Amino acid sequence: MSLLYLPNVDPIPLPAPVWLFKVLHIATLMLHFVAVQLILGGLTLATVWNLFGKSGSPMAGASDSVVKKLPTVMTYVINFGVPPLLFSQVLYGQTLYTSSVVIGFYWILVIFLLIAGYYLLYRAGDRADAGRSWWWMGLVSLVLLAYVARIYATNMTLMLHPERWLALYVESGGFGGVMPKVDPTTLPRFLFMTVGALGFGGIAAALLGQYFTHTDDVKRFLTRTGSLLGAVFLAVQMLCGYWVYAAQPAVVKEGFWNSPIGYYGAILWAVFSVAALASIAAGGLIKGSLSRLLVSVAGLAAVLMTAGAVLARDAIRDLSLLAVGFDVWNRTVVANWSVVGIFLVLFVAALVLIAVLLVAVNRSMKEVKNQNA
Amino acid sequence: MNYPFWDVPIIGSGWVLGGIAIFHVMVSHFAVGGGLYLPLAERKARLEGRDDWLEVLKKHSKFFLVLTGVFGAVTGVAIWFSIGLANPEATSTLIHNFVFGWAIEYVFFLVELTTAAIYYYTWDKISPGLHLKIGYLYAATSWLTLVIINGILTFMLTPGATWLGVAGSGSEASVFWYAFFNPTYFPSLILRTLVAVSLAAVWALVTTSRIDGFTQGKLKTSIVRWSVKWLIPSFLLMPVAFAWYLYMVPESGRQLMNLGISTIGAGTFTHVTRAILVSVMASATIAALAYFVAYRNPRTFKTGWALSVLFLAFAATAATEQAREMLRKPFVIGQFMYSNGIRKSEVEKFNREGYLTHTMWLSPETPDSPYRKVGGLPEADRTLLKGELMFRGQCASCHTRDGYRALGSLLRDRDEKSIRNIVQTLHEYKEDSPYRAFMPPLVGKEDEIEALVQYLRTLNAAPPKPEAPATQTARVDR
Ligand code: HEC
Ligand code: HEM
Repeated sequence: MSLLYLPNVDPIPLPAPVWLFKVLHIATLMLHFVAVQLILGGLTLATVWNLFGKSGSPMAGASDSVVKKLPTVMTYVINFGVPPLLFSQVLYGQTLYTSSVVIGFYWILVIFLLIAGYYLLYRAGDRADAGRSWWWMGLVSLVLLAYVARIYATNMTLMLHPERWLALYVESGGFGGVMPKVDPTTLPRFLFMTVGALGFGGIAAALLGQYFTHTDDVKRFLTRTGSLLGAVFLAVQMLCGYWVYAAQPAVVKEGFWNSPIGYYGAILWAVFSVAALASIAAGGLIKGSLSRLLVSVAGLAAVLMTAGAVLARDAIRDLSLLAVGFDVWNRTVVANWSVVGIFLVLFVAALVLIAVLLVAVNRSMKEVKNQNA
Repeated sequence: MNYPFWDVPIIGSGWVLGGIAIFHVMVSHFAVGGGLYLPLAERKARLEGRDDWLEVLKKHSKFFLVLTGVFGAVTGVAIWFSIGLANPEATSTLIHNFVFGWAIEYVFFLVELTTAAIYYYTWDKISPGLHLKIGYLYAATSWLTLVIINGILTFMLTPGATWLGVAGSGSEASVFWYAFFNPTYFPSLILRTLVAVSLAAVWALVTTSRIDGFTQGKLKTSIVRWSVKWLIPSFLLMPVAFAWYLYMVPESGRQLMNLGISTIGAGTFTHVTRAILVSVMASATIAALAYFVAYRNPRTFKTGWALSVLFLAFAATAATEQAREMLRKPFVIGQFMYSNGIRKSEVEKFNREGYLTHTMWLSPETPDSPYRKVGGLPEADRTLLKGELMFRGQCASCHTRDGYRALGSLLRDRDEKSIRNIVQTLHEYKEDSPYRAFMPPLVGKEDEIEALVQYLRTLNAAPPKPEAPATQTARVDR
């Protein structure tokens, strides 16, 4: 196949080298994926617990405790989703803009699903505060957000297949209201993020139990059940991960192990998945302060595991695109380093500022508490 | 046609973007102005020892957090989604130019978001001094997001001679700061800041109107009056800033406006003027309501009044955004790219080689492209398919078929010859053509232009014939 199927590249050169965009893209996408797994996994667990937990039970207490954190998590899902979208438009604009228009109706639908799902999280949190049950709100929100994930998985697949665009575009009359037929890779990809998210969600629940003040039985429930589910679903996610790979066309599979990003990404992902699984399982079984340590290690391992998954996924995308004649590295670059420099300096300054603020706020909170006591 | 056109029925993709943008402007400017209002009000309350004010401010800050956090942030993302759908070519140009501008804005956004949450969650939990500082930090970073995005927005209206001078040469990045600090940058920044400050008052009136004026008369009087004062800077400075802004707008845009002023009440050229008039009248009514209803009688100032003020502010915002949009026509990026994504520099090439020659968006049945199978369609239907693509690629960014600014009704009483005349006028694009002020040149080879004429004929034709034309839309309607 050739470039005849792709729109022309933008004549304005890239203002920084491809590798820099790649680094920024991958780093921010990792944060997004951590947040996405937290929201999907956390919301699923909390909703189920709220449905089955009798009022006053540790299960119900745990569900309320989780759901109150979710609006803030959602803020960061969105906030960390913005930069990778920016950078992927820079790198993959030709295919990403196009596939988005081709399913334009669904793509804009994301926004409305998002507003409704986000708002429901706040409402569910308010109900939890008032001691009322909220599982049906959680369920609706979960369905909406999972559908957002479905649309993403679809578009991220469709952008790899220029040969499918025209037929879809024609079929929908240009409005983009026709979903592509499911590709063998879309389902595992979707399950990896949604069902797999329960692994991360379980770890997060255990962390919540360990680090936030709760009654003893809620704490125990969060740690035990969170760890158990975390371990089980990390295993499920590993299977999904293998399935994502196995479902790829031969040309991608062959290239995968020769691509350093794919190779090291896959190893990173596998090693830290196992590490996360082992430590969360142990953390759930053992009692006392060692448990806290193990759960924390599992959390860290899960972040690194996500980094590995993002790298491997990046290799799969680039190989798929290469197969249709799109080479992401082949771009004209005319850098303006002064602007890049200002960005990097501000970015570091902002992180430092946020850290300083959090420390100061913490200290002041303690002082005020002591004064009042 | 490089990217496919997102063909939204009735309202057109432009209004999907427009609707989202108006809402976002209301909320995001409030995020800036309200961000300053909160700490300044808190400071005053603390200095004067007014605990009742603090209670009101706490409630206001919850409202502020949810409104700006949920609706402000998500509609911001929404604008971005919708410009990518409605005009990928222009979005790509902006992103290639300003990707690090956006990245810098994102940095401020991150701090803004974090400080907003801390500010809300730490009322009474940290020392008043630190709380205030966080409020100021929020105000500063949210204003800085405006400082950045304003550079990109004004670039679209006035990219400036320096950037235009290098556009297409590949060294656009070297003049980043010229493009950023373009001719309308400063007047627009002042205008937007003023709007932000007045929106702080408008939204504050909404929350303060809910205070019970009979049991808490003193509190309500003082806080409503103090909020109304936030409108003063705008009403003093807005006319000056606006005049400065218009002075920096390119000649063609101003012409459009003059034309509008001289033909008020008639003709098709009053869009800009009409929009500006609506905006001015709505703002004047806000001032009148704020003074006579809120300032003079704060105790009885009801939420209904506050919502009317809010509604007027919406109207003013919508009208102003519409005016800005019209001023920019026929360009999406001034003097560089037309609203339909065609670059000014590409016009000759398309006229010479054909507009659809290299496109991948020809329907499978269309014979013109060597890369597509030749279908068994009758000649007439093939022409219509081509005509529809011409319409989508070149007209549909501003016109729909039968909804907003419908070509169906604009062409209603015209026969084939008269349609061909208009289309030829657009194609020739002579210096004195009246359409130049708001429509781009029509590009393409003769057969493509004729195909467009044939397609346009089907739009204004009376009831559709039993065997509907084989256009991409018609097929879906079946
Ligand atoms: C940049 C936006 C834009 C584009 C692109 C555009 N137009 Fe228009 N057009 C306008 C505006 C604005 C008007 C004035 C509408 C009104 O009076 O309501 C208009 C008016 C018209 C009219 C009515 C003119 C008259 O004198 O009555 C026709 C016919 C028309 N356009 C055809 C087209 C065709 C055909 C195309 C595509 C080749 C096209 N336009 C592309 C903005 C555009
Ligand atoms: C406005 C908010 C959001 C933005 C801007 C955003 C952005 C992104 C981006 C840029 C990617 C892919 C990056 C790449 O491959 O280059 C992505 C992937 C994904 N996002 Fe988000 N996201 C948002 C909200 C969400 C939400 C709410 C969910 C679901 C809860 C979600 C779920 C996903 C999933 C599942 C993927 C992976 C799709 C796949 O490759 O299979 N996102 N997101």
